[in-house]
Amino acid sequence: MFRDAALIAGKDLRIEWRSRVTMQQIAPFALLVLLLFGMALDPDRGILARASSGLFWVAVLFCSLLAIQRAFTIEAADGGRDALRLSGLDPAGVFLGKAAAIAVQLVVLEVVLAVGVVVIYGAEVTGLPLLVATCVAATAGLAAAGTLYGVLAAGLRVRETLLPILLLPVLAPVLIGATRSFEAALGGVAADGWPWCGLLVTFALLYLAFGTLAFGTLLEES
Amino acid sequence: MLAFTHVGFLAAGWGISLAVFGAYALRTVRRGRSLAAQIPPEARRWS
Amino acid sequence: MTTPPDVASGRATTGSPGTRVLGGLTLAGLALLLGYSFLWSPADIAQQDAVRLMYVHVPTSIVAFTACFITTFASAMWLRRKSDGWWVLGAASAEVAVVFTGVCLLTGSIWGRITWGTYWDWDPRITSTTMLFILLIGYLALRRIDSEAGDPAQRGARSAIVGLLLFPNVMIVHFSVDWWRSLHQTATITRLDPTIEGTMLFTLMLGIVVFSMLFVWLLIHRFRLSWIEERLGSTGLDAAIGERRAEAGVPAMGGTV
Repeated sequence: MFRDAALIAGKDLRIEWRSRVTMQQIAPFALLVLLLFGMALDPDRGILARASSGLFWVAVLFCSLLAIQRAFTIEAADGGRDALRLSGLDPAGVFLGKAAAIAVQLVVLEVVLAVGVVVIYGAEVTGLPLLVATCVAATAGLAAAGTLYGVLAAGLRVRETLLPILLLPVLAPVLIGATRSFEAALGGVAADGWPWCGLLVTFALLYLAFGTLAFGTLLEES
Repeated sequence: MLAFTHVGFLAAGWGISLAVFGAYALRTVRRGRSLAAQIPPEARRWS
Repeated sequence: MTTPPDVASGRATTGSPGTRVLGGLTLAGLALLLGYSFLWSPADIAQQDAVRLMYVHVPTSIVAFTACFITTFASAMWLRRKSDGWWVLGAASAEVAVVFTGVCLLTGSIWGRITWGTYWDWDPRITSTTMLFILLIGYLALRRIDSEAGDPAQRGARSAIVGLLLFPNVMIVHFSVDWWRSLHQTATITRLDPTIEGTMLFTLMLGIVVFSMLFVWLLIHRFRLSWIEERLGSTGLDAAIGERRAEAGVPAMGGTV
């Protein structure tokens, strides 16, 4: 299973490396979101620094929608999904591989956004380990749930509009947990944030487990 | 009218709630009737 | 198949003797509830008459979450047994749940307006009930697409998986929101005074019973309605194929298309 996962992850990341969609399109979108928030919320009133955590994670959520849809669109052309089904690869491995590739792309985007938030919003980092742990845990959960709902929406014509409304409510706990954790890491008491990190880890484990089990069925249907 | 505080809100709350349920019930039963007429009676195993 | 059904052999409706009895009892119960809510139960000391809205709000909230659970359960059962009954139950329960959730949000919002002065508050329960509402709508949107997808044998796993995750997601969201909001709330005015007793408690219990009966009645009708829709969906296709074949002069079985 893990070998298949590595195979799929490698394939997806290689496609990404060659097409550079994440870096050339989604990352600029991420920065744009930060700037738009800045324009909307008046930088001179100190709101931005205080709201950095929330704005960061909302931006990540929006970017994850793009990344997930992209991850499945690359297979939509040329009957890629059928090829995936017929390849004999373990569906659980395919799930983990796709989720891993999405996670890597999200981490890259998060780094970009983190720099943006520190530079543009003036957030100060006081708890770096917590920050990193939160990103890892939250990204795992985002990628796992996103891959699951992504494959679900993938075969449908209305996937662009359906995926957000299906996925974002599911990700609300990740938003809540990650934001609270970041608030502790960006100028707050780090100890407050670790329990929320725990919530993120639990969420990630749940969705990784469930996705591994359910992906096979969904791949058949799409 | 009995002297309640916030009569307007109470009336609105209860009134709209009952209206919503009534409308939904009516719509469901009406759709049920029109569709049930299109299938042979044997398919209706409940009446 | 193409001749109209003989309506004389039974009225064409989703009703049955059972549902008529249940419906009658529900209406009677509703009347009783109205009586107790407005006439025979006192106003609350703290909330005054706002508490009378609780007799709708709390029961609809309980029913909404229960209906969501039913959808999850039906999805799980469908994944195991793939029978039409479970398939239909999932959608029917979800749709009725949407109605109850909507009413719950409405009455909660009005109650909030009376008690706190605003229609919205980031109270854990309003927030998570609103999330439930959106989750249900997403599920129903997916169901609509899935049922248009053609071959009944193939579609379904998508909706079933989402349905299966519905209740767990609701619980996770509810838990997260609750924990989050508990960081900010001091002396919360909880929705329901824990020391509620006497006539008010009775009215509340009555409300729960009556709205549960209403739920069952609505669910049965909605279930039968969907059941018929499924039948029509498959027979409609068969009938159309039959007609096309008849036009082409091809025998019903074994002909080439």
